[in-house]
Amino acid sequence: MTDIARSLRPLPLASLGERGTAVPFTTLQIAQMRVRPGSDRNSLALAMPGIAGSTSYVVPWKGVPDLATLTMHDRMLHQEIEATMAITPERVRRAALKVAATGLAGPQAAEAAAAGAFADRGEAQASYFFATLEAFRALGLDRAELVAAGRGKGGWQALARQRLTELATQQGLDANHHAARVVEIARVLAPIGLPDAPARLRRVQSRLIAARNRLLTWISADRTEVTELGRAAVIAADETLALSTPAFEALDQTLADLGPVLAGWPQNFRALQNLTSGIGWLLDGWDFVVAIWERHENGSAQDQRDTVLQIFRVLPTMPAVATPVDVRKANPAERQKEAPRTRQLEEWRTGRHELEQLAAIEGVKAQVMRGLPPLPGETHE
Amino acid sequence: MSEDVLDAIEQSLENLSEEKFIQVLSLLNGLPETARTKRLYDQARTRMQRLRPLRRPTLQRLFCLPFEDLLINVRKDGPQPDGRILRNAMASAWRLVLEAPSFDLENMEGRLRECAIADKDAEEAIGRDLWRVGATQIIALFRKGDAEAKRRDGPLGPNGLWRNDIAQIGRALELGDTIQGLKRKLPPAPIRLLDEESVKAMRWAIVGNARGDSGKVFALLSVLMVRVSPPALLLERLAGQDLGIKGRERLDVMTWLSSPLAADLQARSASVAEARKGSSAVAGAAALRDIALALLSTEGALVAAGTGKVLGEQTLAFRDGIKRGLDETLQAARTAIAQANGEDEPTAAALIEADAQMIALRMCSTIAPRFGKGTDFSEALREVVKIGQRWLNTDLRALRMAGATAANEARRARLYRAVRMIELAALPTDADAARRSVAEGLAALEQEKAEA
Repeated sequence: MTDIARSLRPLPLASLGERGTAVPFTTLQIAQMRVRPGSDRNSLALAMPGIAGSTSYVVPWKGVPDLATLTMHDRMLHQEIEATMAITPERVRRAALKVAATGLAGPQAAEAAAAGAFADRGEAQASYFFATLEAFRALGLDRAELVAAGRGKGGWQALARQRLTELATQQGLDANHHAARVVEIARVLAPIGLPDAPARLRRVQSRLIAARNRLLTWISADRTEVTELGRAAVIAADETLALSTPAFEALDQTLADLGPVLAGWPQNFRALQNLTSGIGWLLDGWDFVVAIWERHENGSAQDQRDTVLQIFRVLPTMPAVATPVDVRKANPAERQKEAPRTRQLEEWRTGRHELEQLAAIEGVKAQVMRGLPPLPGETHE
Repeated sequence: MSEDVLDAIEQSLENLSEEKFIQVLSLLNGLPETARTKRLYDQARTRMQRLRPLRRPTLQRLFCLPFEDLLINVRKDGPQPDGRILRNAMASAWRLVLEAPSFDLENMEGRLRECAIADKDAEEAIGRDLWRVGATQIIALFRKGDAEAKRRDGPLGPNGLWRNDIAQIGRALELGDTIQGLKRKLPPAPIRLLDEESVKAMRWAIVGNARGDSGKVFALLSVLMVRVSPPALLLERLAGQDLGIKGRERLDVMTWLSSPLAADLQARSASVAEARKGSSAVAGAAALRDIALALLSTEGALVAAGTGKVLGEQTLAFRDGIKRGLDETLQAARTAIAQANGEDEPTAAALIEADAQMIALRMCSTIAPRFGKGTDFSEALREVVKIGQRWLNTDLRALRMAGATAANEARRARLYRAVRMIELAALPTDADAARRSVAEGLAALEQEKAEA
């Protein structure tokens, strides 16, 4: 369908794939760095952003453990990603949930991973239900009957399969024709959900908008060198939203009538699939940014500045769009970071931040895996 | 202005448009300070902070630039640290400027209106004129001698209460250019690491501009100290340097500077008590470690500055406080670890608590040796490793023997927990060895299952 195809064109899928997927490592030095395809088909690489994504350094995946002393959690996640060749946001999330569930990143992360996996399953179910409802409408089947069937064994799922099979047989099609397609549509919608049943990525989008606005307010009140880094974050958010918002609109338009998708199979389904995976790529990494900002935005001024610095380091900037700030040279905060440390008692002074920061990262990670909560007043499930 | 008008302002302060709000502010600035206007000002402060980038600074604010970091409100909980300036004294100094015969308020306000918003250079040029007038006025005031100081409603405050504050303002105004220049050169506050370049810039400024005047050296160091965290860091770095003053004078300056250090320690130890009251063991340990570092820094600085005895008793009290904190941390960690590793399967809350306590234990173990608690902490950490190793051995063996699957799930979880324990309590290589043995053990199990 041309509408879907048109709305899809502006999504720079290829370059987003090149940007890679943020990996929720807990080791400070590589936290939120991105996994992407390596130089040959069977290899992976880690992309480490330069300042504001201006240049990025690519390290072969096998070399990652040499970059820093990895936490045990990260060693396992590193292996898991390689074993499953996880490069898409959905696959990296699955790998991250699996590894965190072991408890290697602490009991809180383990609990959050279990909760996150549970929520994912619930949202997949909800997507399946609502996608089936939409398909019933498009195919002229009785939706009231489906709603009345309820959950559980012999509930709506069985009924849906039965009705879709009957319809296909009537139309002289393969019995599984409609049912299989509905399952496919529900699968690609699962991380996003429908307008009536928002799932994880819809919540990331709405929280990103809210966080971006509050960050903008913060910028206008803060007048330090860090302010510009906050501005870079707002710009990156705007660039993301400029693509993700229309993508959501196009998606919702498509979902309002699944008829063309079902009729124009497989081209129109592929367009839908590109739209959903595009949204996934676009919003990748923002859940972490939003979560740390929400954690610290009400903290002390220094806390807020430290957070903006941290956000800046992991900012999911849009590929190929240069962010117009050159902060490295002018920024005394950067200089301070690089300042030679010549103090006495050096060893226990430098070692001291790491555990605290690890604990902080693990906390944010737990929050991200659990999924960002909906905004007050936002519909949820 | 009548009380009615003030009532109206008070009620609508939040709802005024930006432009009106700024107009009201400048009106308020011109009013004599009363309890009423002060309350209005406090009320407006939040909004002022929000609007900061949009509004043009007032003349009074430009006047305060060199010493704004030193301003404090009246302290109820302790003596005023040397070098800090009461807001009331600042208001009095500003009145001196307004009263100066050479000062033309209308002309100055006109100049300020003419400069573009956020044009810092133009603003500072106006500020420089204000500083000159202020410094001259204050020097003249002190020339008048004691009679002035004893005047009840004089500029030095009731019974000369603000004498030191006004003197400090005077010195800061004389050094206004130097101070503003330094602020631009140094990293933004709080400065946590002082690089060579910064230290050199400070020393040059002190030697070149205070020129052996111990009061001015003190004023400069006071302003700088507020921007460094912990403040003792500054003293530590500058103590060994030639600051252009010697002997008795030097010792005086160092002694004055020790007073804000004590206040800083006091504030920090209050925050430790606060954090330790809260629920998170990690935050408590971080706070404890920070105060310990500040104390060590302070002690080092005082020794370097030759004023070791000044804070002697106070630092001793802080030391005791830290030792108590370390003991409590140790005790809490031991209890939580024992609870999470008993015979019964621990609750989720117990696991979370033990994890946080192990992190706290490890964090504090870095400072413990400096307070005579090194052995206790390393023993506690060794104990954690021992428990971890025990789980590794028993659980891997039990899993190999197969059996009930429900218990196996718990055993698997405990294996990974053991790896985490070793990671938190020992070296990464030890933890990695544990992780490998778990991975290999579990893989072998899978293999056996597949073959069976």
